[in-house]
Amino acid sequence: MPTARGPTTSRTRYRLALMAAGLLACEQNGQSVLHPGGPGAERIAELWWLMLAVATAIFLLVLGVLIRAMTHKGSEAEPRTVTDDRAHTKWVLAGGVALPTVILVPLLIFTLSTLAGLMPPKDSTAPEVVIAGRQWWWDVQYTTGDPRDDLRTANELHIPVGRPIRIQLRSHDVIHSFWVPSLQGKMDLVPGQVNTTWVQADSAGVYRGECAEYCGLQHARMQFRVIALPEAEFATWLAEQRKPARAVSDSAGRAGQAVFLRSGCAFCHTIRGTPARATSGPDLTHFASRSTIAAGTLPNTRGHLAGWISNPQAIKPGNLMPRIPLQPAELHALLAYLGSLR
Amino acid sequence: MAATVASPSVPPETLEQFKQTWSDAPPGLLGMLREVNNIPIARRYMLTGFAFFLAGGLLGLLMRVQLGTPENTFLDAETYNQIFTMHGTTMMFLFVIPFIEALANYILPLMLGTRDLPFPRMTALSYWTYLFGGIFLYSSFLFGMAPDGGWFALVPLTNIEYSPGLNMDFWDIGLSVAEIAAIGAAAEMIVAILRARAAGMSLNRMPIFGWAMLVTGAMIIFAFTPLIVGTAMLELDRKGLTAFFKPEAGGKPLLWQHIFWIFGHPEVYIMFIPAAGIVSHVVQTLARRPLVSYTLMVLSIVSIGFISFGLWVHHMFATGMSAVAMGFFTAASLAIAIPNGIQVFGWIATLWAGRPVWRTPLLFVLGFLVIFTIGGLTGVMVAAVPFDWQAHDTYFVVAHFHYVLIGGVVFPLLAGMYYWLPKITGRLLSERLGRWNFWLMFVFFNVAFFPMHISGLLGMPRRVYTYPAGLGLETLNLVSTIGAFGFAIGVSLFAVNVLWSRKRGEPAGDNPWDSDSLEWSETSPPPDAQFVRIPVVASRHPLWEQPDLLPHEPRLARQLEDLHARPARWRGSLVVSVLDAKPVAIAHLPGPTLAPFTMAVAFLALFAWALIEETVLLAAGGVLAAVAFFLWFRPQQTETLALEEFRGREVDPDRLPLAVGGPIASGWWGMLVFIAVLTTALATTVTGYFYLGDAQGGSVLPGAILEPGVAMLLSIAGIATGAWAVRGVRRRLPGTVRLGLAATWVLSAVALGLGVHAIPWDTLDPEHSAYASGVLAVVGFQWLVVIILLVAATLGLLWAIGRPEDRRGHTVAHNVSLLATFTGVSAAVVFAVVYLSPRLW
Amino acid sequence: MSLFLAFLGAPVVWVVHLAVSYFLVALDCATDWNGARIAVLLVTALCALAAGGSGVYAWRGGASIDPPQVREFLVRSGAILAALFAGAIILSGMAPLFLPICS
Repeated sequence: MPTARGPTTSRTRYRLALMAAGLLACEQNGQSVLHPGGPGAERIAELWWLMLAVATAIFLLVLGVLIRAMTHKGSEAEPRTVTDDRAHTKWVLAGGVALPTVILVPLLIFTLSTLAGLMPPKDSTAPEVVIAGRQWWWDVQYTTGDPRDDLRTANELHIPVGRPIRIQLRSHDVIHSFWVPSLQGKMDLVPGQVNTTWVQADSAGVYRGECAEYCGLQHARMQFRVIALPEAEFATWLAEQRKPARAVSDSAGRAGQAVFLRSGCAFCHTIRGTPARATSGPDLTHFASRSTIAAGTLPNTRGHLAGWISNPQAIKPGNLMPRIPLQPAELHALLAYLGSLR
Repeated sequence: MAATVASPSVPPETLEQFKQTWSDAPPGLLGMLREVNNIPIARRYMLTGFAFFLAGGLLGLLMRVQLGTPENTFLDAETYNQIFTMHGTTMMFLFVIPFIEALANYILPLMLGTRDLPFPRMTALSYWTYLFGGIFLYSSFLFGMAPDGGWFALVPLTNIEYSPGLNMDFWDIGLSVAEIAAIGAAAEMIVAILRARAAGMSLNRMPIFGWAMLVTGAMIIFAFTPLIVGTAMLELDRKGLTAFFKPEAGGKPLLWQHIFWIFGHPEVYIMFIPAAGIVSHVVQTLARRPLVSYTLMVLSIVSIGFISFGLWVHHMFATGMSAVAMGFFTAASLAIAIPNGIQVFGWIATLWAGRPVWRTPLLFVLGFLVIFTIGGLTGVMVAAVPFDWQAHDTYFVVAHFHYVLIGGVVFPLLAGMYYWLPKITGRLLSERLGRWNFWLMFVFFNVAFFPMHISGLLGMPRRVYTYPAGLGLETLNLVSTIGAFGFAIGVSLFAVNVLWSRKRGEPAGDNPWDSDSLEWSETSPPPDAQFVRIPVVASRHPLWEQPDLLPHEPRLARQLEDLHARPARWRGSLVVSVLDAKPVAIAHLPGPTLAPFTMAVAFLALFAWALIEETVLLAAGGVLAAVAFFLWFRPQQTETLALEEFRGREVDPDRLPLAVGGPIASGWWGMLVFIAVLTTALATTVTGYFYLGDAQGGSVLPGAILEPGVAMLLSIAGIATGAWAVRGVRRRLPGTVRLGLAATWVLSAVALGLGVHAIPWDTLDPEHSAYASGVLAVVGFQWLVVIILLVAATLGLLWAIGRPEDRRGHTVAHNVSLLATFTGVSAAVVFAVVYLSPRLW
Repeated sequence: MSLFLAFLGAPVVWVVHLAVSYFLVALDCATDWNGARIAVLLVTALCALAAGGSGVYAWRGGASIDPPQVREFLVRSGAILAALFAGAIILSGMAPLFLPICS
């Protein structure tokens, strides 16, 4: 809505108004539709507040008319012999046809143009991200066209602040749905097709996300994080993630790596720079740099990791990581090793 | 003012015999299993429906206990997933629609001024099938295998690969049983409303509930049929026979969603429209004046019926569809607000212009108006694609649909119960308990469901067995849980009230609300022998505007004389013309029989066989089905009696003929409805074929086209032989009839053989190819139709050979011709789709 | 037949409009043809006229229906339905004005 002072200022004021409305509504919890952190969610929030205002007005109108109808003292004449109802019919047409039409046509136009503004960007948005859904975790890949630069991580999406990142969504098994409420509307991951969405965060921070399509037993434990970093820090992060795993420097680490390789972990997991190259489970090359285990189920601390490795089925029953019995010394070494994979 | 007294021209023995004929006897268990009269069946149907409501509600309470606190361990993940699936499945398939159909079965004939529904055995079959389907579904809990894929069972999650147990088979097969019940009841309602009304009840005088059920019946036909096809496809996939929904074989998960939601969206309007009809009646009666603009209200219902079929994609906005396609569906989803708005303002205007009586039914209408308006407004919000991208699959949409379904359907149903139970039981319900019932439900409903709008916007997705602490969701969920329990107490007060009124309720009398429609002209409760005199209607509000319900025109009086406490020895009811309800004929209705119950047991056996594949079940089911078929289609004594009474009467223009022998018979109309079902099923399979076709280039051409082409031509020729048989009926040439039917039979059998033989069974691999599955769906459908035609033609031949003069056989011949016409047309369509269209691309 | 046309003509045209528009969009995205935007707008205009036309037909005609009270009811109904569904067709047809055909 451009004013004499120029569109930029009014846009900022608009954003402030949206934020104020959100704060009034409820607390910020990192995954709120009402606290948009980027243009995608912002445009949707605008539409929401508009619709809420209109809906509230209509509800109050209908309620008012209803109360009036209840308290209104009709004429005591026997109304059953009514032959001409045209006056009342006019009100029915006014309220039931004219009023909705007058509201719905502009609403439709506003909705369609908001939708147009939410289309994914047409130009490339390096890096390109491909997220593949699996029961019950997120397989995140960054590609730049050069396979040597490709990297895989899990359950976390790092993006640079202030520009859109396009995401290709695929699924290896059932339908999932990618949803970061503060940044963008949701988009399904459907096996057999590729859907495209995009996210942009306008300030640095952590934005929570979750799977929003029932995908089986542990659908409730399929969360993820979007971490927005200033451009320079993002570049640093990307460069770090592209490197293979740190070489093990001490005996504990070496012992841990040996446990990893001989206990069956390599059947599912990749650690670049080691012989472990399987892809059915999350890539663990930089596992220690991630904040959660098992798609947001547990914080990534040594204690929780110990519990997870000892018995994943007790924490997230039905998930695809089997229980692997380890001696306490083996577990200890493994934890040290995994903790070094920054 | 109601004319239920027998006029002096009817001798008392005749009246006695008439009443005897209409009572379902003998009492006891066997009597109950043989009942076909709509009154006792509808009562049982409503009780069963309410029981499932309580069961589904209990499941909902369990869910709320689990979600009351974060990281709760009251239920584990698998149990919770089974419970939420069964909660939804129960409410959507085992409660609302059966309950509404039951209420319609009871009230509609009374309201329309007719003695029973046109297919009493179908009424009974619908009930038993529904009961067995529900028991089948709930038996899964006993084995710990309740369905756990969600009530809309998205694929690939519900494919055998990701749902390996029998859970989803229980769902799939149990539903098929319930679907048959729904479609059967719908067919009945359509034919009843079109052809079985009181004399003079022209379409523009028909009560709004009649219009509502007519539109609902039509919607059920067009919405449930795709679901039947879809659930059959899913079950075939799960049995490893096909690959419609397996992505690795070219299957498309979104095909399931299209098929399911083209059922699922009309489904919610199938629930809402009857509720709106009930509201119109309660408002009109309790405002003590006619509804403002009957025409607008009727048209709103018709419009909603149509538009609801154009909204289904709004359940799929997040699946990656093209924006402009989604734009079409947003527009339609917004447009439906207009007819809904007309209704809401119509009701409010009627209350404004009238002198409302503030008794419990009207309280529930008020509650409905408030809650449904909120639900409708959030519906407009989620119709907007951008906002739906945030709200879809979250607790926001859970709040929305509970507002429209509880507010928009349950509250009106309760209004209807408080309004009509006095008619059904003869006793009024307690006003005091009624107020407590209403207020508890109203307040606690909002306490339970309003916070869900907020928790959805705070990022809480649907169908989660728990949620993390620290996200601001704890208080909201706890409040919802408390509200749910309060709501449950409110609901139970209804049951308490019903039980109380049985013993202590004030006797209602015929017309406690001083209402205008015909059901209030009979006693409360109504006698088994309703409408000793067929009522004559001359206005939209008979009990308000007419001095009596008697015929005042000599010709009409003469025609109705034959129905005055008659026919005495068999069940007869009036058949009228569609538009202006002029008397046209007298229909014979069957009396008590074990056929429907036996058929329902046969279905149960066959469906159990589909579940666990024990051959003994197949054998038992087959035998029972054959027995039921025989009981159903053998000549009935009472009908033979009717035919004898009417022999030689057709020449008198002032006396009504018997409704048998062709288009005058209800069965002919029933066949038309069945053909509508078949047409919809054909359209579904053909659409599925094209949707799946492009997966592998679709160029797997099943062999040469000579054999299938000849098969098609033979089926088309069947149209002619069928018409020929009808010509023989019309010209009283029994030889022609036999020849026509026999020729139809032979042509169909050969067509079937050629069609099956033409398929290259060694190269077609439906288990690993979605395209091949699509082909088989289309041709398989055609084979099924031909088999049905063969059965019908066999029946026709039995009549034509055994009793060539019997007019019942003539009705069968007409129906065979109708079916043969459809079969010929569908053969051409199937041939063009499967054999010609690949050659065009 | 004229009864059905008068009463149900407009809703049927609306169904046809939805099906044809959806099909045109799918065709545009699946092949090289890019005319869906114009085509849908054209189809919208045609269908709106047809729906409106069936209303006019109901208003003028309907003389073939016999009993006068039923005739009046059906005639008025046909006209109102036509107006409503013509409106719904136009609403639907607005989508291509704002949105890309394939995305």
